[in-house]
Amino acid sequence: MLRVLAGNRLGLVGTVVIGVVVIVALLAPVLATHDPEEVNLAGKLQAPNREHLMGTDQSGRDVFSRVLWGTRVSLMVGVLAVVLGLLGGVTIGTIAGYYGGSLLEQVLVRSMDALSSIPLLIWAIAVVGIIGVAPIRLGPLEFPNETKVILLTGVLYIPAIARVTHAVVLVESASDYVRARRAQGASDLEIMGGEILRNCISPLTVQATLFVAIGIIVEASLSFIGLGVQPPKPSWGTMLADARGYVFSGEWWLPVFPGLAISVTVIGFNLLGDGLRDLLDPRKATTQQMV
Amino acid sequence: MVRFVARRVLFSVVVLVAASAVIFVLTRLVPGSPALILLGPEAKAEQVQDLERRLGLDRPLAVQYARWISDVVLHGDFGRSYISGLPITSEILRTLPITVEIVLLAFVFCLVVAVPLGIVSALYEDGLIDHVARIVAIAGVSVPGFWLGLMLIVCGAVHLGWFPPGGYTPLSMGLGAHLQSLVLPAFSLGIYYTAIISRMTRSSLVEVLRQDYIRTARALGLSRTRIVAYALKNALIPVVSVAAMSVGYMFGWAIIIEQVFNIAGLSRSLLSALFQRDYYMVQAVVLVITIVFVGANLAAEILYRALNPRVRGTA
Amino acid sequence: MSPPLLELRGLRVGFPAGGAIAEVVRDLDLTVQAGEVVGVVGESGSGKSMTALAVLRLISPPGRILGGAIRFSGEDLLGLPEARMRRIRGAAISIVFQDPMTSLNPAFTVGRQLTDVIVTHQGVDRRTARERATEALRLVGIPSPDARLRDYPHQFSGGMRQRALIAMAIACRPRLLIADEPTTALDVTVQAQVIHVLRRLRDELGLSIVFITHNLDLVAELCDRAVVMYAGTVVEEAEVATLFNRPRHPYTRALIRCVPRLADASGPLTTIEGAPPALGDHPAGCAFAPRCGDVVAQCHGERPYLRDVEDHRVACWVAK
Repeated sequence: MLRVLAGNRLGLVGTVVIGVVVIVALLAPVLATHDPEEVNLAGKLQAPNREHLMGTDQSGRDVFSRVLWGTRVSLMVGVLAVVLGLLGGVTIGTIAGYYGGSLLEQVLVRSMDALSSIPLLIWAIAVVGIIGVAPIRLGPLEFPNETKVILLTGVLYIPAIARVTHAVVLVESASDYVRARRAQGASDLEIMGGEILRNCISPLTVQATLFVAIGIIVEASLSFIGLGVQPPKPSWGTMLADARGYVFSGEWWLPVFPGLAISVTVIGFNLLGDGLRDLLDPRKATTQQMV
Repeated sequence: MVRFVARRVLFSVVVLVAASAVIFVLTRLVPGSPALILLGPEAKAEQVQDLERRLGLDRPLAVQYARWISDVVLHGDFGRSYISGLPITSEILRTLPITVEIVLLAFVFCLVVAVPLGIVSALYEDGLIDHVARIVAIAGVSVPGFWLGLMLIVCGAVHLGWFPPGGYTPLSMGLGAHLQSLVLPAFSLGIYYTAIISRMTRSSLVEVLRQDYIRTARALGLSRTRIVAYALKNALIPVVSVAAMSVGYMFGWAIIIEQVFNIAGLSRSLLSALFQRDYYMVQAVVLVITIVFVGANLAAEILYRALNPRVRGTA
Repeated sequence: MSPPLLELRGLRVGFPAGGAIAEVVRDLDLTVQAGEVVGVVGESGSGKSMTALAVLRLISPPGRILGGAIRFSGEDLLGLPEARMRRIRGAAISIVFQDPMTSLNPAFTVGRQLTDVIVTHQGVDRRTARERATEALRLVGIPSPDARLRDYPHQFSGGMRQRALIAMAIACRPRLLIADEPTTALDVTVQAQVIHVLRRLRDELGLSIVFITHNLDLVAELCDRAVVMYAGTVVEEAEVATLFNRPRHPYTRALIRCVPRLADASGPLTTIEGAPPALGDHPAGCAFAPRCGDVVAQCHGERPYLRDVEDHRVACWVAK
């Protein structure tokens, strides 16, 4: 009992942190002191001071504003990737679990097995590297490079989410409630969409929260090697890539602040996910997912 | 057991074949013929066609794939980089060991730190070490490895001067210097998995210690050491499996870490190949890493089976 | 006269709950003489399992022994250092638990688990230990014992596992075996096997047994003396035949009435009105008073203690 409470104190901290990050992301235009993309070579590489709270980078851009704006990209990628993963994973997992014992289930399970046995990070690097970092143009719409990151990361999540959903649905499908509903004449779709899905919410919430954390790190890492968010758009990963060149010359504010931003945000999601796990899913469905 | 292994190996092979086909097609998806890239934009049409014919690029895709995959499987020959003209296999053989070494060091570090930490956390549940370990683990899983590497370079190399700021010092320059150049990268790489494995060990052991069969052992007067030894045998089964998988994952992240530390391992081959549009090289490196990853997962599954008497006998 | 093999006096066990201490074993007296089989009967929550765990000091925190005395052959167990206690567990006093499916370690062979107990307490080499292990398995009626040593628990049936656990418990020839509902999780036919094994061990090894159960029939079959527990304390105690023929405590009478007899196959099953008090939440006075048909005013005010009534010991104001 005590442990759940203690764990949830951490969960509470996580929620607060995420809350702050979300507010920053939403209010970035208001909170930022400068235009994050405004170049000012004369004022480059300034240490943190009154005007530039976190200093300026090699192009004279205000680091503080860039860090604030960076939350937008990171959260967007993190959340959208998870949404994608949920859409794909829940669909596949529900179908597989509902039609348990069938060939369809076998095929789906094996496919998820196969998908989780390839190193998706490397493939993401290769795919983006091969296709190029130009935005995707679909008619009048233009999707920036991060879209590719979102899609690939979402695919990374699908097997794990499908597995969790599959396990829950398999159990639920055999329950008396479902049998009763079927006798009442409810269609398969109605049953799947109703009671069964409701039982997945708890473990999936935990999983989703933890996956947002992973997604933020993946985006930062890909941006770091130039395959994620493209300059001049501010992203913590690209800021760190720029900072690399200044490691030896003592401009410590260039790597420290973006990195702290990533760490704090990810810690927030991990704390919340851990706290939620203690509350919603003490031992069962979710396993630690590695990336 | 044998049937199980055979099934999983077969499955892994199928996955690898599918993956190789996908990566092959992917590299061909890009507009612009490699021949054109090689010869430059001023090349004349016949020159381009001629080169394409020589490189075998005019044959149907399936035939090209068949040739490539049979070369790889039968001769271990990944072909030649058409950018540098050098055989890809030897390039990979040059850079792969470096990455392997970093991963191995990270892995050893991981096991040596994570498992004892997890055990102590479990044995003294809710104690000081347990709480500290939990917080450190959350940090370890959240702090991006490549940023940690950067920070370590700033502190460890620039300020303290204990480690070289990057680059790979080959063994020929002395064991000490060689290892020194690998400490920071291996550490940055391994922290994430150390955190995961330590938490996993802890929760697994806590769970086992709650079991009825441990109660039986206590009730029959076995010594505390013996009981912990019993519990460890049960608890470490899933940990071994996760550890095997983490080797695969580490290979992927090594690519990023190597970039931070400017180490000419597999990452150099992959990323410069991508940059130079050297697709044969990209294919090869992606396939190699995929093989390692599939292998690690396969090992994890087999180990889990093999260590578990209850499921060992079943097919 | 030699001291009783096991003597519990005023034993109290409880755990902290909502600021106070909830007692699950309240002022319990129990005696086991050498060579006896004593049945301890009671429903779930009566504290019988806690009593068993208390004897071997296996109560896990936050539960703990609150007071009283436990003496084994005259020696006070509660004051012993843990190291000495460990030497007693499995060697002088053994316990067998309820669920054989989860009580054996799945990652080790049965033989390994058996020999480890023998080696721990008897300090012999592996080979001798294996011989003794084989002998123990033979004693509990497991066929081809030396081959069985190499098996893993999952290769044993439920009944065999329970017998293997009994073998582990008696391998070092303890004087007392506490069997906490050893047959509850087993089929009726397998139950009979286990009872048979226990009887054999009593006869061949002179083993004293405390047999904890909620099944009166088994008590009648196996035990010399029976002790009835309710709400953490003993309410009646007598030789088995006397207890069943002339139960004196209202609870005992009600219990016996509840056992369905083939003779009255028709008609509703008898139950006892009401429910036992919640764990640790006991009324003043007799705990059974709210459900008792013979209750008088004194029952609510004063808590009865065990007193001799002819050839029984009963804790009741109205028993005669």
